[in-house]
Amino acid sequence: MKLFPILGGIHPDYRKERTSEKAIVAMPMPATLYIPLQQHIGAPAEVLVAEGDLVRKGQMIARNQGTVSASQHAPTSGRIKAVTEVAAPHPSGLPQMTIVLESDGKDEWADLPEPIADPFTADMHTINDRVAQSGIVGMGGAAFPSAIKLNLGEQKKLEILLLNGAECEPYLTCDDRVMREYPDEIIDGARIMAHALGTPRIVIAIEQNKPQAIGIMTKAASAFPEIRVVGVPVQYPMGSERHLVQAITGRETPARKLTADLGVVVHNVSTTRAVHHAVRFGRPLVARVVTVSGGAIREPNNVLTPIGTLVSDLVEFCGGFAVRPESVVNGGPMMGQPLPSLDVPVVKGTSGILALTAEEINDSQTSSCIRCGNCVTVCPCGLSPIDMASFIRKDKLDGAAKLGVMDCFSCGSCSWVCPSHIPLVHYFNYAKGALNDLERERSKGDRVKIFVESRTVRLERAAEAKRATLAARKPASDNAAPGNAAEAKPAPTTEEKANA
Amino acid sequence: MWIAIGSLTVMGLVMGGLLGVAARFLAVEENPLEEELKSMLPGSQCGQCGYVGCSQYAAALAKGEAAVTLCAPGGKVLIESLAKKLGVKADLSEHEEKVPEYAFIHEDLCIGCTRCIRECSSDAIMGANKLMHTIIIDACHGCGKCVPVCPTDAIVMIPYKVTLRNWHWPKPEIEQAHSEHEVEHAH
Amino acid sequence: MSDRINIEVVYALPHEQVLLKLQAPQDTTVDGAIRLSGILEKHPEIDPGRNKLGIYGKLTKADAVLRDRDRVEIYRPLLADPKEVRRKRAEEGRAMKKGGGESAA
Repeated sequence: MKLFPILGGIHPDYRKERTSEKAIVAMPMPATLYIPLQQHIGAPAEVLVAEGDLVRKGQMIARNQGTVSASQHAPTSGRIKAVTEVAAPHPSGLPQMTIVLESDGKDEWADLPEPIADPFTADMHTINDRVAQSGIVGMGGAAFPSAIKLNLGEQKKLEILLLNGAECEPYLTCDDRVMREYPDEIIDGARIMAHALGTPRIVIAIEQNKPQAIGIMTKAASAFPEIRVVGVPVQYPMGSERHLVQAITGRETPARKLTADLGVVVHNVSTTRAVHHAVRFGRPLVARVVTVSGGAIREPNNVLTPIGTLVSDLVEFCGGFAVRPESVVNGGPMMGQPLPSLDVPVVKGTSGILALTAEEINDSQTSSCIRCGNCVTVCPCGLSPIDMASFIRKDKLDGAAKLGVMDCFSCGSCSWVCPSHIPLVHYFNYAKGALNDLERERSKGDRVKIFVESRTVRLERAAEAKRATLAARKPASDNAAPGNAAEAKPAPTTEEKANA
Repeated sequence: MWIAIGSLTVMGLVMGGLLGVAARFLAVEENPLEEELKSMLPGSQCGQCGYVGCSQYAAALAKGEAAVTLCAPGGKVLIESLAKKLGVKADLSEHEEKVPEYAFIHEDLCIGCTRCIRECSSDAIMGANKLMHTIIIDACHGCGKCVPVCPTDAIVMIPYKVTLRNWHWPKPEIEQAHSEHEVEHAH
Repeated sequence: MSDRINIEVVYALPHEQVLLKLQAPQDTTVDGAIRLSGILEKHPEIDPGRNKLGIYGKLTKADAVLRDRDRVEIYRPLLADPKEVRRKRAEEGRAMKKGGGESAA
């Protein structure tokens, strides 16, 4: 299959060998689980349980609400200890509403929805409803509710379901292991999703540094002529949805458009496997494989982790820290975010927990820009990082916006390559947030303006009515004809208002 | 060589001519400055600038009678764009960027007197005589004029809470020895 | 203009305010607008028979006919007894403020 080049990119030290040969192990059920109502992009789910309720594994404990949302399920059986605010697995450490579940140790399944007998004859809504009902979100990290992405087939003509097995972030091996250990489940899930989407073709893209996964997936897919397994070049950020689509189709997704506009829908391989579980067994998403690695971890591993497990419990399961980590990162080292505390839960989008040493982070002193242009060369979005950063440093956010800072997806290639260690991607993360703030303020200002304007109209209307009443009263008192006054009084200004 | 000089001269003349024509026919009619300034202001008529409303402040700005730094809701962004528009230098040393706030009524203290309602320029307070008054946060522009008129001190200003939804990384603080000229020829 | 009017229905709680914009036929009443807005489904605690109703701060009967751009407001009762609040403040030695009448003028 012909592949197409993508722009820029880097070749970091991958360090995947620490966990790539470690088979997935299930960790024992922790005594307490913390299930946030929001583990996804969109609105938080609506709580269905209260303190003291007994629940069983797989039971829905929070329902999706609004157009973009995902439901949450009990990862084991037990008692609801509280519904309260708990620190989120987020760099801010801010709290979010979380269901606290005490395991009863029985791990007893609830009555699950019936398997969908023959998904390939089922109507797309049956499959999408099941995916929505099972709380499945994109497991590559973005955590976008999968059922919504499956509905795209209704609105757009789709050609390809692209399975993302690139796993281009250093250290992470969870997708690699899932592909090597559960190829048939991935392929079954993919075929079900392709059926729901109406895509005639399935392409499974895997970076060439995972030859075993490519081999195993190719073998598993050989029975299905519509599926192609493709080894893509090892080039960070190949696993970015837009870049992977470009590598496969040669077409670039325009800014603020979806890959679906090019006829391609991308799903992560682990997401696909979750769909297989939901459709074939009625099992919701209650656990995921997490790569626990980094120089500070005593026993790096790929761990099947119940959703809601505290990072501290997971680290404990992996032998704890051999040395004090400089930073504990949620996700990969390039795009992952540091965790301010270990007392936060693993969620559906947690692909890795990395405890990195100071040497691995290489946080050197920033020095002057030497105008080498490397950041421009590696930017996979064709942006000019140093120019954007210059604007941001001088608080000229609109200048950075004009250069396209909102199109930056924070892959971090520019920071990685910068010989002067300028924290380029930090500037962009800040600028994107600050620009969003401004936009929110602007739209709030516009809304208030509407209130003020309608108040002005209302006051004018009232004044008008008053004048009319006064004008009517005068002749009325002169002529002593009360009939006139009565007629004029009920402020009949409807037409004037309509014109106003 | 004469061909090159000739063709470039012709191209220069033709393109220059086109630009001239475009400048004439596609010219945007200049709005009066006052209108333009008014459209830049928030339009919430809060009066924090000391003028009755945004139109009056715009008029004063146009006449050069008012400083560009008076509009609190507009913040630094507005100050900078007003300064740019008027071709003056904004003195930001005095300016304290205000955290956006909204008014909140403590229900156990509200006696339903309607004084705050009469004070609000954006109809952001809902209530009637001897009935509970409530702020419609979406309509509140945080001017704080309702706070002093409340006879029972039931109204307080609350800064918008930082949540997971609106949190973002702060600006990197590491001051690198970036030479200034490097920034200049970036644009 | 058309035979429909633009109106709003508002119900406000301290931490959640519902403001519904809708188009209603001419001659819609206050009560009719509330039913049309669907707010009763979202907030079943509202009883149009018991909650006092108004338009822009003025109490209104439920059968009053609306005009274009009216804002129908569903009020809640006070929690405090105004007399009690006044007495308490007097005890604490804090005078009731006269309000901002003078300063605003």
